[in-house]
Amino acid sequence: MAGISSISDIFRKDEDGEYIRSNARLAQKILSYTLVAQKESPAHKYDEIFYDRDLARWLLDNYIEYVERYQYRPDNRTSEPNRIEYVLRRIKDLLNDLHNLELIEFEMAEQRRGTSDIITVYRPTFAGHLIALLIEIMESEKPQRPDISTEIYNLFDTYFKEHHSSYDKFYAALFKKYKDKGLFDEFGIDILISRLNSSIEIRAINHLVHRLDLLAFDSAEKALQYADILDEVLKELDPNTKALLFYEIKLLLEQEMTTRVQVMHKDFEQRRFKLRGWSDRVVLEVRCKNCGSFDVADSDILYYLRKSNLASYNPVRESECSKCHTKSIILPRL
Amino acid sequence: MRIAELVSIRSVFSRREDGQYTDSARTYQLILKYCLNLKRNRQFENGVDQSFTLWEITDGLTKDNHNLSPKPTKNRIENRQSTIKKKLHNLVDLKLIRISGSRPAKKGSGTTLTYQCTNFGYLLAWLIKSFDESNDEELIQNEIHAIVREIFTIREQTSASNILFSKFVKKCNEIKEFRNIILLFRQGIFDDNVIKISDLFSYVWRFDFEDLQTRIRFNTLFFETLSELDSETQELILYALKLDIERRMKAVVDNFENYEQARFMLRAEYNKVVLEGVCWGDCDRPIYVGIDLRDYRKSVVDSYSEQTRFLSRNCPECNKDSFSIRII
Repeated sequence: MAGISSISDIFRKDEDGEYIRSNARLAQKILSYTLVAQKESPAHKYDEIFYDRDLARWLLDNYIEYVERYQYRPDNRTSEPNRIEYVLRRIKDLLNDLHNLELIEFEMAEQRRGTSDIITVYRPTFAGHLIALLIEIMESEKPQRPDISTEIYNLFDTYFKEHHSSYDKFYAALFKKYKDKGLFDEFGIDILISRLNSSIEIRAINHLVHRLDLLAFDSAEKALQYADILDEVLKELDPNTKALLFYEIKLLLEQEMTTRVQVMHKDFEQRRFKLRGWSDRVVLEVRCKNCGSFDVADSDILYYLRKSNLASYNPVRESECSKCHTKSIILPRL
Repeated sequence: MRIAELVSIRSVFSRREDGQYTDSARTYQLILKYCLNLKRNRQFENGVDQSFTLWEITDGLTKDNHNLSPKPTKNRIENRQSTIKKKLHNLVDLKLIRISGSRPAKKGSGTTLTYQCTNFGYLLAWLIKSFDESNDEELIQNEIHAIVREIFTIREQTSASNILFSKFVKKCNEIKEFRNIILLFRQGIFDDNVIKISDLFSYVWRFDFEDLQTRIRFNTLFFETLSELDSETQELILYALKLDIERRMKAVVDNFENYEQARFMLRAEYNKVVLEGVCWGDCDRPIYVGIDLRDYRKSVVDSYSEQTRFLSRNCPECNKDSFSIRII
């Protein structure tokens, strides 16, 4: 193990702006190298194979820690093959971690020419390539972005042609809508990047892509536009996909709610049980900000998503409290 | 963008590569141990207030090193206050500490926040103590039992799972098996999936004992306790179990598209859990089945071992003995 046990570990920083994992930056550079390998290959396929020694050689010239180490005496006298040997163990450990996160695949080993040594070959997965492209965007200047965005869109497009869960179908439709409206950069890519840079725990690629929660936008107008597109796409889904997707969202929200119930444990459990067959309704513990009492309510999922996503931008009318009869019920933001 | 440290129950026990606790874990542990000492000292003084301020805990935690570094008290405390404050807030997020109120500041006209350890925090503090070499096993067992009993006291709004746990713990204690619950807590705090305190209790419910006989004994006790509850409470518990197993199944299925469809079809069947299995015979593909929860749990407990991570059954489609379900 090289200390990278989730995708978040590759990006997470402490309060001083330093990477929490000492190997975070190296992991980013390894993923960046997969793009170099792709560009150098004749077919330009994203899942082009690469070798650990070629990777090590590239990192010696492009990873700042290694560049600095071999810049001055006495280390600058170390021959290149020896430099590669010295750094290879750490790189291989990190490749193992990236393999465990399903960002890199190990391919069938090849025999080194003229020897009995076995060489492992590596290739990035869809997720690895996506993260590599997002890293490239994070490191690049704005004018370079369009090409990469198109590549990311096409990557997702290929992925969605082979994956058909309700979330996949929903995201295929959502990304297409972004593209048609010329918003893929702003809503597709920027949201993925802001999730990578947030404190959300992202263990697998699904945790990065399959989310409906709204992150901070710099204006209420933009937030509203995002919520409108979300609404539009959800309403346009075919009935079966919509039912499956809403059921998945219901399960996720109610699971989160279970851990946050403060008072009405029994009532929450009973209502959740009663509405277990209703895929489009989510059960919540709500609080009255006037009298402070707690209650259990159920809400239409579409209504809940919109209301909770827009709450911090656009004050919405509150529901009536059954105890003090004022319109002061607050929905939890899950 | 500055990002806060992500905390989980494991943060309190995280170790470096050399096997020693990290500095961060050590600080968390010291805070929880401080709370435990404070509670005991105040109980001796017949006091009930177990709250403390940031200044008091920082003073308490840095006093021991005072002789080594003879700094004036004010500097000694101020130097460490920011770190302790961050750790306290992380423990508040984990529900191990709570903000209990405020007190007038000793100087000036302002107020200062007071903190107090929760029962979950005391539970963890005793678990930390259980790893000390010179621990008093019986004392720790009694203290943890008292805390668990208090956490699971049955009240008007107590959840069905907590009612079951409360009765289960009582039974365990009566038949002198409570030490095995502590064993599960001690295992659970090192499990990768235990992030929040609720995950720790979910872990305990899985009875992941290495010893098969202990696992069977606990599972029998589990069903015995379950059957003694009223039918509505039983239904709620089974439904919560169904959700927990299906959530874990979702994370490992090969084909989520088909799994979500099967799970959706059986969403109202609270006593059936939807699982992905594979027929290695004529069918040669993943097949989705709804299995009675009690049967599934019993089969898992009976057959699970480090070597056996699959249940074998007859394939529901070709009826041959070539169907296996991954144990989760």
